[in-house]
Amino acid sequence: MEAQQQNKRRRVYSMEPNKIVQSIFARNYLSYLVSALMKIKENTSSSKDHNDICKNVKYEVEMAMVLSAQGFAWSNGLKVKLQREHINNVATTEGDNNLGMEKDSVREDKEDEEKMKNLISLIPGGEEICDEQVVNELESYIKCLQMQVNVLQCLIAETC
Amino acid sequence: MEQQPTGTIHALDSVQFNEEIQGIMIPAPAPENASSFTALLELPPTQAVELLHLPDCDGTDSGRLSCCHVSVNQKPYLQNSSNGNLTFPTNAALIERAAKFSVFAGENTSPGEVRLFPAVSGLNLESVKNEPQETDSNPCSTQECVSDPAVENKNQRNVKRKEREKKAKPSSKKSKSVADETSGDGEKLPYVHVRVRRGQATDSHSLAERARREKINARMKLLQELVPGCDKISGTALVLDEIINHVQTLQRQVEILSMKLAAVNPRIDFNLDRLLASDGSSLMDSNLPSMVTPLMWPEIPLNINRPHYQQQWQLDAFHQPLWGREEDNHHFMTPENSLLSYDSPANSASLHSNQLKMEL
Repeated sequence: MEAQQQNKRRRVYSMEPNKIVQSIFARNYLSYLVSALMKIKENTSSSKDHNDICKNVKYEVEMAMVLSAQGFAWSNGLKVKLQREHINNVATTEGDNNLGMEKDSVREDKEDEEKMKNLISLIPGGEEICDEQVVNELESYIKCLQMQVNVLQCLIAETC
Repeated sequence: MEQQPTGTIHALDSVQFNEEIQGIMIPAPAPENASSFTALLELPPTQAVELLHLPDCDGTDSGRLSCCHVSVNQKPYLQNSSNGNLTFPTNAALIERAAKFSVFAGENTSPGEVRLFPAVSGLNLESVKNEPQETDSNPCSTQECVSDPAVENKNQRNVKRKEREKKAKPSSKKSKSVADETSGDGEKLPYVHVRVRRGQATDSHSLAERARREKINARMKLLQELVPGCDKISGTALVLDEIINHVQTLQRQVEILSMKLAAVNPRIDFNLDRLLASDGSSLMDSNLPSMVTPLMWPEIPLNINRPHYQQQWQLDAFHQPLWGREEDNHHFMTPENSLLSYDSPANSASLHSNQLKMEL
């Protein structure tokens, strides 16, 4: 990852690349999203359906997420999902996943497994993440989600 | 660590075992592969031994082993699934290592048990470079196993050796299917006998599954720190529930906010946002704080890469709304909350940007 300082341009290799990504996530996210929103606004005619706007905005929101946090498996998964949806023009909601968490199981370890699977399924592209990286991916995904929510809240609060 | 003559079986083993444990635990390898043992290998000794469920661990100098003795009795969920026996996930890499420095090749297996058998002659001991301590004790312990008539003692030593090997084993990528060899011949191929808990399947797949799950469980601690309020919760199920809830909540929030954004979109005064966006890009190259006075508060997390101005800007962010920005004043109440929540990533990131600078 590259951190540019004002006077010198040096390549810096962090010992914790995740932190780098997260630290510039907010800025990247905001810049992507704002430019995308501007485009949407300019393209919006009064006759356009509110749903369409919603879909576009949602798409841009998630695409900004993808672009701001590249290098994670979930980022790729999200990108793939978005591309698929964009082609099909279907807006799916991640929160509506049927997790089946009320499954009854006698053995505790089976429940844990189920829950772990559910958790992994929440991550976009989570099924393909190898077990080693699950925790890292989860960590970065949760952090980026939180930052995304914050940025969106700021943006909305600012523009209301 | 020298090979000691076979004295009292228990004491000998436990003494060697302790020292080896201590010696081995220090250069604990990082888990990097997909094999089932890695998590166990990276586990702290207490946890690793918990899995082994040593029934009578001698009180030793090593606090770890004594911990294991205590912790074994205190882990109900392990016992629930174990019912008093132990499980050994199999690993071909371990098999190989065990084969390198073990003495005897085969042994009878008691019914209902799958035991650990190294298969290769002990002459290969010298060729093993890693952890010579382990090699010395292994033949000793395996010899013990052969000569010892008591089944429990044998099992115990196998347990200990297995634990040792698990801890010492550097990671390598091997398929878990080697576990399939457990039931068969011990003479020609290196394989690993795995002790399973009573009532659980000895099927290699379930063993592998269990190993994999245990490895994931071992990392739950990291996840607990992610989700606020999770470190108080005990029990993996609840922690997982909490994390799932958190992720779902965040995702729903993103949805709701994007809907709001869409609703607000036509009315957005993009002048400010244009300024913000342009400043966002220009901020990468310039350090002029005066350029971003109109919207300081979202810039705070954006300026993490420039530690010089971080503190100044953080201060400014809180002062600006109070002093100068009349039209934005009322907007800053809620963003400040998010700013405060931003502070933690900002602060942690600032530390790392400082570290970055030091790397130059």
